[in-house]
Amino acid sequence: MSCPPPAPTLVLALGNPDRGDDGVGQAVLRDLTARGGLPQEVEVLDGGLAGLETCLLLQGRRQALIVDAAEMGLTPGEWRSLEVGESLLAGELRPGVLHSAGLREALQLAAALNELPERVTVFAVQPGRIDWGSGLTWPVSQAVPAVGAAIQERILLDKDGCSDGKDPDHR
Amino acid sequence: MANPSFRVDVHHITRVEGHGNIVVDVQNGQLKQCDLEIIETPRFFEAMLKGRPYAEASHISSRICGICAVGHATASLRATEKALGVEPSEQTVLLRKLNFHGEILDSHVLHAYMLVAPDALGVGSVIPLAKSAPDVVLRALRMKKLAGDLCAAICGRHTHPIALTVGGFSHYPTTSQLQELRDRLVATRGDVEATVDLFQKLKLPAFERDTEYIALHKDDEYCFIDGKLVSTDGGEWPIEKYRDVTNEYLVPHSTAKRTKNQRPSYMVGALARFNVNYAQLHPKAKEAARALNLTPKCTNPYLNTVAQVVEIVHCVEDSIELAERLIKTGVTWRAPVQPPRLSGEGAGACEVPRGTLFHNYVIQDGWISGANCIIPTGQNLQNIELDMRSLVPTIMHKEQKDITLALEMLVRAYDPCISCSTHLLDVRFE
Repeated sequence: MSCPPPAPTLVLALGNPDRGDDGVGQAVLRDLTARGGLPQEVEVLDGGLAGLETCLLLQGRRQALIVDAAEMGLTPGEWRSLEVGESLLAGELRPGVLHSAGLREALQLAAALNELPERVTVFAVQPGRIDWGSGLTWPVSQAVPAVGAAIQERILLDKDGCSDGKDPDHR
Repeated sequence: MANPSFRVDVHHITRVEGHGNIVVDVQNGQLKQCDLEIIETPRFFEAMLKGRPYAEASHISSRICGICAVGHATASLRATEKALGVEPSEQTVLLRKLNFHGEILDSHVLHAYMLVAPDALGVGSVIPLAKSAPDVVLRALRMKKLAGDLCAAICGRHTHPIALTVGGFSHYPTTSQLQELRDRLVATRGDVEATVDLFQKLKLPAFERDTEYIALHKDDEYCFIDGKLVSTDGGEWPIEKYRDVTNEYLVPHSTAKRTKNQRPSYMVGALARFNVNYAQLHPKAKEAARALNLTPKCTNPYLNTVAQVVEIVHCVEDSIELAERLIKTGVTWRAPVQPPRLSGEGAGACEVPRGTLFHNYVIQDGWISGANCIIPTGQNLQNIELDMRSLVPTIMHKEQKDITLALEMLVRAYDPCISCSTHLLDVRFE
């Protein structure tokens, strides 16, 4: 049973849509898909709460664009695109974390496995409410089109060979 | 150093779930203190269940544990079903077994590969292991993903099941899903064989301490759900008599209760199941046990992980057979069996990855009025502590770092889930 090679570019949403603004990744995926025109070499995937198995989703990719809610101490709805480099991957695994691994641990493990794509960008959105119940808060829902547009622009620039690692919409 | 003095204080032990400390105090060669301290806050799940409608119990109690969520849900459902006189259909029983195997696989693969193998391979954690042996870690991730996907197909999510309900299921897998799972399970046999090969090569400490081993048992299958309680010291108990086996009591240095039966402690988990139920293992799992040189009755607690590897073989092979059976008979949508009464008391029990789990509910007019849950790690704590007391005098001559490692590995071998038991490990030297 042979599988086709994975698409070179992965757009990956992480989070639980039943935990309020933690569902922002899935909302951005819907926005991006609705825009249409994504090149064939791009795969859009809802990773849910993949934990360490995120490594398997990254295997064989050239680049990954990951959308997730992140507590950054900003105003709800503010967002940043963060290039994953040594600083994000530095440090030891937190004790006991393997029973509840998150994105940082998965990226650390992927790097150790030499399975990290050449370029990994995290589109991190500051949540307003992460708690029981589905649906985004108003300020986070307002950020969704902007994040979707930034990812689309990045993909199209990349297709045209213009992306140099500096996101034009980087904030 | 003929009469060493030292203090081991591991605060907290890593690569286990939850927080616990190992405290060992040796003065002039005499063991003065040897405690496994459990320091987590009690969870109060039994109190949360009181006053809730019976249909919510499995969903609330599955949140006790993110690793054994299917186990808690299943034990909860069995307690409720027995209380209310519900008899699940054969299809429900088969699907629950398949779901259960998925959870056992997920947990055992994580423990064997990510938590135990780094010790045996002499690396500090899974990250250096990933650098030195990426194929080993990628294999573990592949197997874990299959186990999670199996659970998701049957119960609706990788963890915290939503489709399991009193009397049946609220969602069923399609035949094509079952066929895909079956094919993936067959394809994973290579990874399973490689797992057995890996653990054949790993050297685990030699340490023997005979104890009482207790597990659920059925004559016609390697039992994970229902059955009766059986001890290697002799004795059988129906699940309803679980309190006669567990005999819970308190110790000052633990927020989790201890248990004892016919000896001062007993062991539950993969090694106990292997010792009690060897005859019921799948033939391929018995082959693996032979290859791993594991024979009942095994009294080396470090080999609990090896028994988990044998169970990985069993669960994959039994899952293939269960999937094929369900594909052959066809899974059909059936409404859950409705309870013929709304009041009663029932006890449910399952063999979750770490051992025997009990849920016991009293239900009045559809509302839970009393609940009792006894978690496997809680049952193992006293046995771990007595293992430590027996082990320390045999390793006193070693360097402190080696003593600490030996104690940490011993605790890890039990794969403790301290948050669930509300207990953990800290070793300090002075």
